[in-house]
Amino acid sequence: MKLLIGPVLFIPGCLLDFLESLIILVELYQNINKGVTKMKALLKPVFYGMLVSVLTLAGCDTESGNTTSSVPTEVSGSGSYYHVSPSAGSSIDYTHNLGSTPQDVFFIFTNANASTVSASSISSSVQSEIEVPSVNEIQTLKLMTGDPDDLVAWARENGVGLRGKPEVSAFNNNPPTFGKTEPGINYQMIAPDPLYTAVNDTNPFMNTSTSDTIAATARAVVTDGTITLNIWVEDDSWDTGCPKHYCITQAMVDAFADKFLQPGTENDIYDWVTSIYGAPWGSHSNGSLIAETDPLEIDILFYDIMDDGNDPGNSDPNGGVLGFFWAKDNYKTSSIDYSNGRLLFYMDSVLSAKEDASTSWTIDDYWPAEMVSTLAHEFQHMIHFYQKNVTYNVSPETWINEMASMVAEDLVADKVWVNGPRGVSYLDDTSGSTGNVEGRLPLYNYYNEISPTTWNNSSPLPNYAINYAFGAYLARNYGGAPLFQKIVQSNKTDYQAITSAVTASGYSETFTTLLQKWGVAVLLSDQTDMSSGYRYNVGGGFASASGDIAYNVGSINMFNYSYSGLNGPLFYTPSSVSNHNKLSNTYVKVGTAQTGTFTASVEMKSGVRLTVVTKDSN
Amino acid sequence: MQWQTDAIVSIKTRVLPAVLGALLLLFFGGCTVAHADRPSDIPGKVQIQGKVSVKGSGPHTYLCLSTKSGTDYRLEGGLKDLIWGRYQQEVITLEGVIARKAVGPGFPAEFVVHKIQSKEP
Repeated sequence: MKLLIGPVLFIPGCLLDFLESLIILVELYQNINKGVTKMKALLKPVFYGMLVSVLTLAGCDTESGNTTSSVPTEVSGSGSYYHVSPSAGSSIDYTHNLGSTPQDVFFIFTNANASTVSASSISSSVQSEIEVPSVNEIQTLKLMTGDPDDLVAWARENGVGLRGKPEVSAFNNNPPTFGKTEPGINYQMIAPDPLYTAVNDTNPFMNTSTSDTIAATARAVVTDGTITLNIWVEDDSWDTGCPKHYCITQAMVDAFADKFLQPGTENDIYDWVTSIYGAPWGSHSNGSLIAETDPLEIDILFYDIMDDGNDPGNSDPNGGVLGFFWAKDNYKTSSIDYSNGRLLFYMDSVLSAKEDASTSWTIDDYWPAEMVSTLAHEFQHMIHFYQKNVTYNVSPETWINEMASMVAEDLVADKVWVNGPRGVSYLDDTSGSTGNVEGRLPLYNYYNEISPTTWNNSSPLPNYAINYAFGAYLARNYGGAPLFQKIVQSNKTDYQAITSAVTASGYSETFTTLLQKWGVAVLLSDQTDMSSGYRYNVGGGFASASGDIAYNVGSINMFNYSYSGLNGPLFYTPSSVSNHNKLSNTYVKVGTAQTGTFTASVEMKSGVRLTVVTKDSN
Repeated sequence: MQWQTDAIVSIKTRVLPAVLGALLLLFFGGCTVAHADRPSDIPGKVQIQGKVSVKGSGPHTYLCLSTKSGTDYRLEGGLKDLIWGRYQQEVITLEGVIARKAVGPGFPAEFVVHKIQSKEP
């Protein structure tokens, strides 16, 4: 234990990493003990070796003095990276012989603190101002902020699909009063009969209250032998001549039903998403919630979300809210009187029915394809609620839940034949080509300095973007589908859901090192030969498997994505960076086309890590 | 005088323990309130300490304070936006009242914030 006390006491800035490492080892030990005896015998010496290493080296990262002369980790090709972890408040004098090939030099500041800190000051051997946008230019490039209604209007005008529905938050703000659940009583002893919906059944779905209803009719009832899917369509959205810009037809219903559930196995969104994340419902002991049914029934209601697709009345819709899942429907009506008492999620009928210009509707058209991806997204939320909220009685942080939904879209993209959040053709495993404005990553490039762990409810698009970027990185480096299964099927609700899953997948990372490596992966995503932990791009697909199902996600090159005329990630300059957001990376370009000896002096802030990346100048 | 003796005995055997008990109750009771992460249901101000985060799937999101023991409180009140914008992922102590009980998974107790008591150093 003396070894523990020394470094912790004398290098307090390393305490966080030490504790995180210790937690990882404890979890590893628990996992080892779950193994068979022979595995225990093999793994225990490894565990004790790792324990000694952690105790010995805790807090003793690469640098703790005032000066460092680096030996960057070379990447074959044209990039290198080097993690520097100075002690609190120290100054780093960084020296790097760049050789004769012009190099761009980047500093990534990883703020491991849970609070924002002012920027580290940088002085370097670079004489001229670096040509990246100024602070003012950056700010004007940022998206609008404001109330959700403005966001929805903006999304409609700009062809952006939102998932989730603003007024639903009213439920969370003013929840109903519930009867007290008797602890320990299993209300699921006898599974009730399913609702047995039949085509042409009608139902007034309750929206925000018992009096606010959506008249709908069942247009498809499909079963694969185990699961039953009921697709409902709002009567006002039904068939040619409905009072909406675009109307749902039977062919459309059948096409969406085929995507979600088909007879057979491993051939639909239900199979592909549940194989990753688990079942959307099952046994539980909470008397306020609907019971498990046999067979399991899932309902999807297509209606004009936000009532913004009327013709006349609204302009031709080109974006807006695509779908949402609302957990109030998982409650019995005796608990929430306006619950629909079903496993239900909602899809926008008008965008689902919108065909591409000058063509007749097919499921592969732009908006219908987006809606297919939305099926996977919202279904993940439904599963997440059961797997985490109901099973473990804990609530995940929003960014974890949304990340899982976007990675679900990513993992099934080539199965549902939709490009997904990566924004590259599902037929193309490579990182695509430059000038790509599709998917979530163009916006990530503009907001790469925000924290993936926070959520801005009034302007969440950057949060969706950075959470996809981070989730895509995790999926491509730490196990793909099985990793995300571990993240969701866990009693952890915050970053520990990720670090625990990474550990259980056989890796040793803290959240801080994940952020640091992610930063390198972003900057060197135009390289296809990065080592594990630093990869976004291998020139092809990343394979994983869960159950009997194989998954594949394509490569990503952040420099291929463009937004508002800026290509690739947004970089700050030494003079324009003002702070480091909590639990985030800040990307600073400190040198362009440098040759010879590059030097820089950096005043580091407590809890902030520095990673230096160099790459051939374009 | 007998009644005086009885009274003294009574003070020794009944009153003093009662007073000591009351003092102990006040002492520990005070500590409990000051560090409570599970406030009582009795209306009145209490303090809770925990990590601030946003929970729920978008946009059924709510601002949440999660205590060490794992209890969640949905934060409401005039300070909500300030806490939302500034304190996510940070540990803070809040003073306020519980407006609603927890209702089930995903729907925690509602805590109306009156004051941001302190931020963890």
